[in-house]
Amino acid sequence: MATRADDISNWQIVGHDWAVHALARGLAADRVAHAYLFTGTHGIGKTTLARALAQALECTGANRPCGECAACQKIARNRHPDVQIIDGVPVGYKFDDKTLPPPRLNESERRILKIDQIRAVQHDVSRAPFEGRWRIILLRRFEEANEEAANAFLKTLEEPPSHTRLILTARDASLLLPTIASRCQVMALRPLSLAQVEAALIERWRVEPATARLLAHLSGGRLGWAVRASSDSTRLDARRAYLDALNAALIEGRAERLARAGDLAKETDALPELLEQWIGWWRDVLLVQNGESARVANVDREENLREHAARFRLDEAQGALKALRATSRYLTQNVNTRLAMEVLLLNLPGS
Amino acid sequence: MKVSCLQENLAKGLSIVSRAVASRSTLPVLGNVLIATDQGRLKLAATNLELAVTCWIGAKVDEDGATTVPARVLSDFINSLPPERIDMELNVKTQTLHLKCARYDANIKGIDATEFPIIPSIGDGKKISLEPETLREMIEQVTFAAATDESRPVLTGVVTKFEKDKVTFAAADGFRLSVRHATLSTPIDQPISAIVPAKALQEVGRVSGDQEDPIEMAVTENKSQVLFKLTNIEIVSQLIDGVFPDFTRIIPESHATRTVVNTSELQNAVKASSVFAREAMNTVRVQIAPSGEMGAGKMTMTAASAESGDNVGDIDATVDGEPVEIAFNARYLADVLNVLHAPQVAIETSGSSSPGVIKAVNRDDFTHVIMPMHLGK
Repeated sequence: MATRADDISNWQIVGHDWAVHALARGLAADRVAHAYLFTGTHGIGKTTLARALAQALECTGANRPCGECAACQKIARNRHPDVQIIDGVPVGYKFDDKTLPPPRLNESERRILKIDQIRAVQHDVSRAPFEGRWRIILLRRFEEANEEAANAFLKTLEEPPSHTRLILTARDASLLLPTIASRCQVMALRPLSLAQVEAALIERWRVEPATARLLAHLSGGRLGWAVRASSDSTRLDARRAYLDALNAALIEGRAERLARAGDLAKETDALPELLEQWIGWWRDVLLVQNGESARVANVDREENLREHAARFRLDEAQGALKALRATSRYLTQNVNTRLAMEVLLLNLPGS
Repeated sequence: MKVSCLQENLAKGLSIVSRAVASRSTLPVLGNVLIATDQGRLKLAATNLELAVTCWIGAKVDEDGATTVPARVLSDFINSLPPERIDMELNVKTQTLHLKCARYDANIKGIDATEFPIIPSIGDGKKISLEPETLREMIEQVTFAAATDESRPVLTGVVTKFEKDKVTFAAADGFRLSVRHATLSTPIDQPISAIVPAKALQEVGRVSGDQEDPIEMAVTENKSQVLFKLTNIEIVSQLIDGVFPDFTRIIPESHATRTVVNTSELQNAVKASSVFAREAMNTVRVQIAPSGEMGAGKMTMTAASAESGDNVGDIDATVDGEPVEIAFNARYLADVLNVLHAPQVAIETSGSSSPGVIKAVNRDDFTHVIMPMHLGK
């Protein structure tokens, strides 16, 4: 027999069907956990799912979440008085009574969730909801919470006031204190299939099919990433520049590579993304070398990939990958960026 | 919307609601004041999602409508206007409020009124009628004892209990407790208990200065909000969710010494001691000596600081019981003496490590308990 929880189309979530089903069933049975932890890599849809859950909880329509009632609309625009989204603040940020912390500049910006924010949450949840049924607090990227903040949150997380629902998101449950994760119902979201991302981009976000195909492949199943990239051409432009730089470096001699490393190292903020793209590139080169061309991510540059696959040996491609991984690890540690990039470029094959 | 009102009325209305304006919030509209026509009057409202204050002022309404405008901009501008008639007109399309008063003109950019949170209404909740004079005194005598730090949210509230014709307000911060009882003129059939944020009650006390008719208080069915209804003002506050500690167990049942002194003499002695006490964690030592061969009973207050020096102050006292030496926080003593409103005060103690109870003589509706400080011998 089909129950209401079987139809989840009203949640408007692409993929993650099992998670939506589980949430919908909990909602239908009036058994919503007091705290959820959604995990998965950035851009996979954690916040989107959390927001849909908040809508389902606060919705005043018949088919929760209806997406149309005032509550659903307000949540969609982050304007609901009882639904709060807490994000980390920049490193070294000082709280004051007049201003709000600045919005996150980009996905790789390092932020900290501080104890002052947890205290504010504790104050808010002690008050009954203002206009909705619940007070919902969505704490994004809880792995950014420092230890003080996480520990201060334990008590609230264990026994939140009866009208409160907490939703945490994190890249991975293992990055949190075990005492935090164990107090939440954990839902580990997995990347979507590339076909799902591609179809969703075309149908819902009206992206050109060719761009949609490329974005889907580059996204690695992270729909959120693909959607943001589709509306922000600078990401694709940056990727093109990074891959062009790699192409150029591979035919350069040592002196030119050293100069290039110096230039690249100046843009510290862009380096994680650059390394990510280069790693993706060498992965594709390896795939082509092993006859798995159908699975490559950089679908718009297949010609280029085939050329590299032929030009370099298998162990050269592997060596490049190893060097890139090591460099991205070094960059999270306290190394001289310029030196790290110089070593990397000299270790790339071809010269 | 097209409406006219007097500058004095608008300025006063804005000063009443402005305390509920949120200074920083992720919802920009919370920094605004709602201005709406309401049955021939002008309704002003502000909320920070915890406290909502609504105020109605007399106005001539030519065309109904509503908008929200930044509270600071509006009140700063209105306060600089001469006391004359203000004409307001809203351009719905741009959400700009045009104001004209005497020879001043202004256009204030607003946010659509639909963005403003819906201020909860109480519906048919049971109403309790309170005498403004009594309520103000209860608020004054209790709210100062509530905690200001958020580590235990329930302690930032005042527990309010109503049963038949009795009402009790109590607040505690872990170091002191204030309990005040009163009688209701109209008994209620079902007991009610709710924890109201101390800040909300202080706000009620602040705006009820001119109130003469009884103030109506009501708690929503689901116990999430409380409403205080004055003649032209409504204050709605979120209640604090939680269990308030059983304060009756904190009040000592017996005492070894009862000391009665003149309130203003004690106030002066505390004031003098606090000059030295403020550098010593506000500690004042109180020595109580019963009357005997040495003469009449007396109370000696001493305070000492390693840096500034020390002082001793003596006041006459009627002491009943054992001699005692105890230390209190001078600020706590000063706070309670300020709100006592009685010529004579009774201090009941039972040793240097037991809480002291402070009451007004000949009144049994107010009890204040202060935890003693370490004598540090």
